[in-house]
Amino acid sequence: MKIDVRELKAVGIDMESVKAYTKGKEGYLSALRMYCRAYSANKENMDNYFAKEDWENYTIIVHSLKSNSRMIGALALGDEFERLEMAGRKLDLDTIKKYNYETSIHYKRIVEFLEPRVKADEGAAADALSAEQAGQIMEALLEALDDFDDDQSAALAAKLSGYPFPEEKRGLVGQAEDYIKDFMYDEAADLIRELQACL
Amino acid sequence: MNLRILITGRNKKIASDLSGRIQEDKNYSVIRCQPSKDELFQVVPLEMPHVIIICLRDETRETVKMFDLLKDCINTGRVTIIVVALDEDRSLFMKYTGLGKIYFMSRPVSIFALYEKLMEVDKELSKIKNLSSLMMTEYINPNVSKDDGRRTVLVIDDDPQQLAQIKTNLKEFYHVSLVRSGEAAFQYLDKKLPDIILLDYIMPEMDGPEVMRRLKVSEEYRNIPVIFLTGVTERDKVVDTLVNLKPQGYIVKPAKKVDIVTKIIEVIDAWEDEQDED
Repeated sequence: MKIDVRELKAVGIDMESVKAYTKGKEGYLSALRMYCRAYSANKENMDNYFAKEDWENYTIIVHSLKSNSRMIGALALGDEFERLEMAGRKLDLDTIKKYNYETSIHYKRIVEFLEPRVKADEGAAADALSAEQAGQIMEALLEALDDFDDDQSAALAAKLSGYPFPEEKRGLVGQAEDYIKDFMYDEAADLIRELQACL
Repeated sequence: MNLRILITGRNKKIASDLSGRIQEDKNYSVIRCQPSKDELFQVVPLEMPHVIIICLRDETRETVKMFDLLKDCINTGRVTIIVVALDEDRSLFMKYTGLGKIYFMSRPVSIFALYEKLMEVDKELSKIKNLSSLMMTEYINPNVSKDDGRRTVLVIDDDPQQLAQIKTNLKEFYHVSLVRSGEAAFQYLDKKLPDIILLDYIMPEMDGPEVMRRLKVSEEYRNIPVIFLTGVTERDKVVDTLVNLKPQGYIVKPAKKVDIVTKIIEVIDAWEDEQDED
């Protein structure tokens, strides 16, 4: 799906403002996808910290969301997160309670707008793998993860979907790939070890 | 061979003359580039010149230091750098840049000498005794490391989007490793040592200052230069921390690619100078 700059502007995303920070259109699309992918975890954390009145962690998460929103050109949303961040630093609970919901909704709206528009095309299917090949790939993948090599890890994980894992385990490959995209090496390694047991 | 020659520098008259002459007389591609950090940063990796001619004029420390960008931009191998300058600018250039090997030409420029050098590059001859050698002096900076390998940058930030963005900006010039926490950073450091660390200031559990403190008390890690990554809102806090923990600097996010790379080059250079003095 193509991104229309005017459509983006209509929802408060100024693509032009971030040109200097992202490497071309593909870089920008990649940043948008990452923004959308992180939504569930971020929203959950934001809600949990708010509910538990854990204002220190709440401030950290809205601080992150402020930067990330600005990085994709969602400047107004970035300002809203900044308001919550400053309130969190000063323990201005009135401001937090007043604007938390409104900012959450704005965040949700932006992600719902972006998601269908930035969905990556399905890549070519991975080559079919034998058990031996899958085993070798998993060993190499565990090494790459141990080495904090996200590029190599991503490349190896992409190949793994060529092996017919049992149905209940198939989702783990995709999950491992997501962990790798989010640089969560230990979590990805745990899943790969779980998959190794299936060979 | 169609040599690609990039001509830049504050001496626009000489740059323009040389550009015109070379294009008229020789079958070489000539690229003009403004002597600005942004433009050099964009054009050099894009055009990949074989020769860069820098025409200096009334330079200052800041104007010549800009050319340090070329150090990490030139990662494909040989680029011959020719600097056209009077004595004072030449001294400044030698003093404030860390470029490895430079051919200096004084003014007025001997176009024949220049052509000879270009032909030499064209023929891939290292040194010939001829007019160009008489008209140019070769200067090899003794302080530049012989290791031409890319440096490794370790980036520590709890936010994967920030990590991905920084890697996109740096991977062209550096090996970049990414971790999301102080704990993961120390696991990384157990295995290998980067040349420099970019460290997010605000992180959950172990924040940037705490990571910095632990690095400083470690015999093994204390000599790795650290640059804090900070948002505008906590910049003042970071400046206070600079006084206490003495990282090598900070970068305000989001940062343009050219600003991050420039900062890394500055910090590594200054750090290495400091280590040499010790």
